[in-house]
Amino acid sequence: MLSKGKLKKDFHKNKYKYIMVIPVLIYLFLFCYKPMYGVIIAFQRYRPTLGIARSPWVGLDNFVRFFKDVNFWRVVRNTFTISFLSILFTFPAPILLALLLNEVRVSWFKRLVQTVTYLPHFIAMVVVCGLVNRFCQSDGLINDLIAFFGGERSNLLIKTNMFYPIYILSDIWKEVGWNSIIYLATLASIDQEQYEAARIDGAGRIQQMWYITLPGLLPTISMLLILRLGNILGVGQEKILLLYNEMTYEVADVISTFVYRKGLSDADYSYSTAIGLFDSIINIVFLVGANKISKKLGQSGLF
Amino acid sequence: MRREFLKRIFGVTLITALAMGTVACGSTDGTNTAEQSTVNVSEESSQTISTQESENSEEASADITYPLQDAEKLTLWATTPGIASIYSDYTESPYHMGLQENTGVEVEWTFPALGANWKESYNLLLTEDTLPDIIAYSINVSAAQLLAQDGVIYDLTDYIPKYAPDYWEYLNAEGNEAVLKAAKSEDGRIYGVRTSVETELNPTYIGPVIRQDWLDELNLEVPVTLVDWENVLVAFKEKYNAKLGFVKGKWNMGIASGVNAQAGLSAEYYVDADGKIQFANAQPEWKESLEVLHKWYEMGLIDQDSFTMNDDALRTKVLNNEIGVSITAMSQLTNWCLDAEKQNPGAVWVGMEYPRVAAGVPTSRIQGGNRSGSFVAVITKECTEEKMITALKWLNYGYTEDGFMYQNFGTEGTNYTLDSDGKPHWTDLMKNDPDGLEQAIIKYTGTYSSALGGIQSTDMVLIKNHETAAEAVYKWAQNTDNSKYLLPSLAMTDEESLVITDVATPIKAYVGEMALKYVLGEASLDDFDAFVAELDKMGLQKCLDAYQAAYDRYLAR
Repeated sequence: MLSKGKLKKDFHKNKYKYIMVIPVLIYLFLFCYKPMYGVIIAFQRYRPTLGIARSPWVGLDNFVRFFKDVNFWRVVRNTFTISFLSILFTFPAPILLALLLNEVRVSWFKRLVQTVTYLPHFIAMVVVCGLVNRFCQSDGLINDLIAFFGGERSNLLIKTNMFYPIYILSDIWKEVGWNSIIYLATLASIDQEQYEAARIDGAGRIQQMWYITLPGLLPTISMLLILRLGNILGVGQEKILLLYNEMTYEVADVISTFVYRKGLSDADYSYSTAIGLFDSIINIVFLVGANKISKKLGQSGLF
Repeated sequence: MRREFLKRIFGVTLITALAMGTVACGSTDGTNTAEQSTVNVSEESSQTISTQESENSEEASADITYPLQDAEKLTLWATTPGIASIYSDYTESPYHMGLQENTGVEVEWTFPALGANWKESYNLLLTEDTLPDIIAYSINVSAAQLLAQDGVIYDLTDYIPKYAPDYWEYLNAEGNEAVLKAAKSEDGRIYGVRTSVETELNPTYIGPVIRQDWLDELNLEVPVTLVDWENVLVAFKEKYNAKLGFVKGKWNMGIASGVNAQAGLSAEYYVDADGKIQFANAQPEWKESLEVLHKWYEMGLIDQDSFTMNDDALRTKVLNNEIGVSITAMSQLTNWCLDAEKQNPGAVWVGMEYPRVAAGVPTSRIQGGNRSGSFVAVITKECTEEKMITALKWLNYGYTEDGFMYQNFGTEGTNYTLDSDGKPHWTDLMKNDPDGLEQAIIKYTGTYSSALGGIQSTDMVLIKNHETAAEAVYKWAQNTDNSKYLLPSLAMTDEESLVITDVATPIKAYVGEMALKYVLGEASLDDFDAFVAELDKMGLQKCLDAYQAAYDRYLAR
């Protein structure tokens, strides 16, 4: 910690930097801290017409209701499952793409692939999900393919076992190019002489990739992985909302979508706030945990 | 103001834009014609409406003359559908501007954004700092009572006889006892001006339809029982590869009547023969109806997309001859008939009766409701008392004879003409509207779907749709016990309302999910007892008790 005197000196020295940081602090206060007082309604039976001041207090009732809810285990389980699957499949995909692109020697082809893969990133989520929806209907594109190869037509969106593949694959399709940019940038900074030396030593393409490219990428990978772990419950709520339906709630309903339905559809504000608060607490536990582990492994932590 | 509002709900709109579904057909509504209100037409084409004086009322009822003079401007939030897809603003809409001219009251309208979920928009509206003067939405009496208790809206009980005389007269007219009961809260108060429908035919706007031309080709009769249905479906599938297809939101009671069940794919309460409230989805009949659906699903007789598609997707399938039987709404049937005439000559859609246990046996449940609509216009405390009175007078307009015609048919001469029997007919302006008659009705009239204060005319519904659809309604509503089982609009106490939020809402969600699992075979109907046990565990009895108590009080009133 800085002592008082040091802080003063530092302030004088970096006056403009401190001034520049003020808008950010105001932003954080207004949008992240000020709304926090609304958490109070998690302990109330909130009615918008009465406001926070007049709504009756109910203590921990809303939390007890959630723990007893038939959907409690389901939403917790689904949140973790989807998050885990994303880390397992969506996270390594851009690394693979970057490694492969790095091996392409024809520069126009490389550029073409790069452009084509990161274009989907700019398509709005509703549009992407609209496309997915159409493709997955029983007379949609995917079923046309299945039928062409002699399979049975079926509506993929109402099958519980198809939800995760649809979710993960469309995620990879949308974001793989965009997410690979950071890896490609890192690759560009790897010293070309290392490759030259390796080639002289007789290393093949695969060996070069394994012994030079991958180790070069490792610091970036581990940094991004820690950041991702700290946000373990942060699943793509918007996307799930657009892709799930009553038939797939069993596997697709996550904490955030449940909060959304309870809060906005059923107007059960207090209940949904309580669930949201529960969600935040789990997130904090994981963030602190991931930070501790990364420090133990000798990496630098976030705090 | 509208802008700001739009901005706020923009996020929600995005999310719901595709997942719409919930913006289902609003309830429709209306009764009352000339006999019930005394109307004197004065020379200047404005009207003087006087109420029937009740002998013991101390003060004479005020005469309301439209257009009202020197009326204050009002703000209003309503879910009138479709206007956003036609006009950028209410000021461009002939209906809204004509209403302003007829009533002499300037009204600033706001609507949920196009494609937004109405219920969510309404919930968000209530969290706003300033509310509009009038909110027109599906608010049940118990919710309205709560709003009044919280000091958000006016209790209009004492004002209605004087300032909404035509509405008051309508409520007290012979044959409207149920409508009056439905308008009153638990403590006998009236908190708003409710919409209603002219006859019991209006709420029956959904029912089964079939390809008549295929039936003829295959020499089959119109199916009556579910066994007949299955035979027809099998024949259709073999010959035409066509299936039973529908939009989940319009399934409603579905084929329930074929096995005397009381619910389609969603949670439903009903009154049994002993006057006891029962939960339809816990009954063996409901299980039976699901067994039939599951069997059909396994046999490939049901189009799999039925559970996810919307009206447009179904319409395409219908046009492509992929659907042979459906349960759909009049307006969709109208579309299908028009499509067939234009693009698929030979295809003949007709309405047919709901399935029966046997020919001649009344159907247990069909799509249908009470004559009192679910939509109500409430006046918020943003208004001064004087302004509230203006608003009430304005809302009364829909219940005057003039207002009834304007709300349903638009302006005489421009939008409709009356034949010698006094039956209205659309003018060419309406019939030849470039966007189609349906859109023309949204442009020029007010009761279609969920307008405010007024009575939806049965004639309007019938002439709005293709004649096939108009004929279908009579078949759908034929020989049914629906009204025996139907719950009236109940007024709940605060505690009972809490039970509904805490217990009935989760039960409803659970039933909705399980119903689909049973049909799709994700869950086995052999475990139906476990399902019922789970309902009990969730507190079903509490809900039944709450409904029963409210129902008993309803009967006693």
